[in-house]
Amino acid sequence: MVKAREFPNLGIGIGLRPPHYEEIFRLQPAIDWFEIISENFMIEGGKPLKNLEWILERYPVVQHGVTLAIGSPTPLDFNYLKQLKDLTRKTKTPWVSDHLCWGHLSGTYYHDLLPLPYTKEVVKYVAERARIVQDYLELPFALENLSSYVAFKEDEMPEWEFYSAVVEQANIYMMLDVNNLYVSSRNHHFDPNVYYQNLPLDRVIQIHLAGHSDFGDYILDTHDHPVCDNVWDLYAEIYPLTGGVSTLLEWDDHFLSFEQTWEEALKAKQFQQEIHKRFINGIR
Amino acid sequence: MSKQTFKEQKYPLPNRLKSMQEWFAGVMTTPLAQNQTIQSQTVNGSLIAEEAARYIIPNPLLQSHQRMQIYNQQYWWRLLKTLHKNFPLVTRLFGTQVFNEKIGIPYLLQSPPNHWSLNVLGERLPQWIKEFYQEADQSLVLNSAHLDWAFMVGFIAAEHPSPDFAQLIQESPEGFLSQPIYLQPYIHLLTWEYDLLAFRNGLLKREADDWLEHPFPDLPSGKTYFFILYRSLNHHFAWRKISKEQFLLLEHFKKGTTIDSACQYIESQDPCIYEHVASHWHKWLQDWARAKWLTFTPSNHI
Repeated sequence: MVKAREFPNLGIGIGLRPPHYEEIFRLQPAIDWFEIISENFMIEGGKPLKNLEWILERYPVVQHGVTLAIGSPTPLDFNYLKQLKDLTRKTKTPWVSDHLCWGHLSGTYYHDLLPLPYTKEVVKYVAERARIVQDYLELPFALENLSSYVAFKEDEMPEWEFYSAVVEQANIYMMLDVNNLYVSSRNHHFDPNVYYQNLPLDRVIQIHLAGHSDFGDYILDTHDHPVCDNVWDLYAEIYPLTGGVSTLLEWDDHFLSFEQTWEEALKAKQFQQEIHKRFINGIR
Repeated sequence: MSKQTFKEQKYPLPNRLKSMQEWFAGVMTTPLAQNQTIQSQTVNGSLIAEEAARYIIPNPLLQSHQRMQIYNQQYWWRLLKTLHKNFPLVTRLFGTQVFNEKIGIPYLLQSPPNHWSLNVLGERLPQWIKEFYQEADQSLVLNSAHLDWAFMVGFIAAEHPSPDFAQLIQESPEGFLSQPIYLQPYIHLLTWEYDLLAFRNGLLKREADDWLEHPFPDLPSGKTYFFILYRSLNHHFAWRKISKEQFLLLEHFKKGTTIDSACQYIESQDPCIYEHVASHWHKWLQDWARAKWLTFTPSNHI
């Protein structure tokens, strides 16, 4: 396995979303990189592909998917994977990511990131499929931890153990969503520090940050708020342990202007600089 | 490694995983109760709270079925929101709540998403309206659904190479005349006895539920309207009114036809139409070729 530290650290990026196109095209901001939702560009033609071409001429782009649903009880969809691979050739993405979840049954798609039971046999089932995906795509493939709202009675291990086992058995990578980690820790009442302290962090090749909504009885991963302080605190702990990986802010609803979104993302840079200073000063 | 090898898996699907997923999906896709909470029973009549307690661990704040409710709500809210976005005119005709009750939920129950792309979620909605929505305003609702869907498809449809027709005519006039010509897949031709596009534009100026408190804009009528929906050279989706004669000729190209056949078709029409086309069609063809509406590649979307 190529160590995560040997992957390029692209810096701070944000998710490319249509409400920001006009500002991006006009301002051509000095943003480090963009992440795209792969499925939004797995289409036959039209303005979205022209917009993507414009972006690709100016910025590094990383692909992130939402519908692979690796833990589904259906055969891997090679028509989907072929389209995904075709897009990777166009974007030259350095890696591809999707979620550690399931999302469809035979003939029906649920368009959600549904949680898996954490059992040994599910680890084997999912890990093998993840390895096949990575081999087929001929690119490093990373799975992202979910925000989840249920835990199953048949669970045999905590989420971090399940996540680690899938990634290690498949010999793939982690796209660590720090907000999801926090959301799940609140919904399932576990210590988020224990979670990341038990992950093989050398497999993390990208970090996601986002905001969420607190409904009292549970918190929901809505990507429509600024990143909360608790998530920033976790990021400050996790980022140096990864050796410094590409970091991305996701914002998917109740959009701010591009500049405001970029300002929120740049907070990650401040954290990184502080971490660097602390490191240099020998505080850590 | 061959593709066949990719498909072979050493570790089969765990049976317990499959049965849990089938149960989960059954609960998640059960329509929400009137107050937007989880129902007490699935459509099969089983008690959701009882079953959920068998699969899901409760936490100090939420019982098992209350935790499932989060997925149940997200499933319906996400899909209905997608339909609202992709069928903005149809949604405005009803308001979101009535749209959900009369169109969205019954449609999704009959035609659950069958593709990984949410772009095609509404692909079967016009047909569903035709078959199952039997109210007095069916015709307007159906035409509105066709129009909304034309915008959706037109936005992301393929664009085939559009050859330099002038050069081809110069090089081989006879070959050009016998070469089938098609319209680009993103082009839609629509005709109604009212100006549904002006009506749609008017309705889109307000949010869907604002119209519950305001009268609809006028729906201009009294003649037959012909429209083309297309992509401009800078890839924006646009529309314009066209004449009946242009419509007939373009409709012929939509199916795929040679210039020779198109001439014969026009000659078979009413003399007024023939005369009008004969005096304009050279310019029309030039305009359509310049706009890159014409291609030699057949379209999948007719």
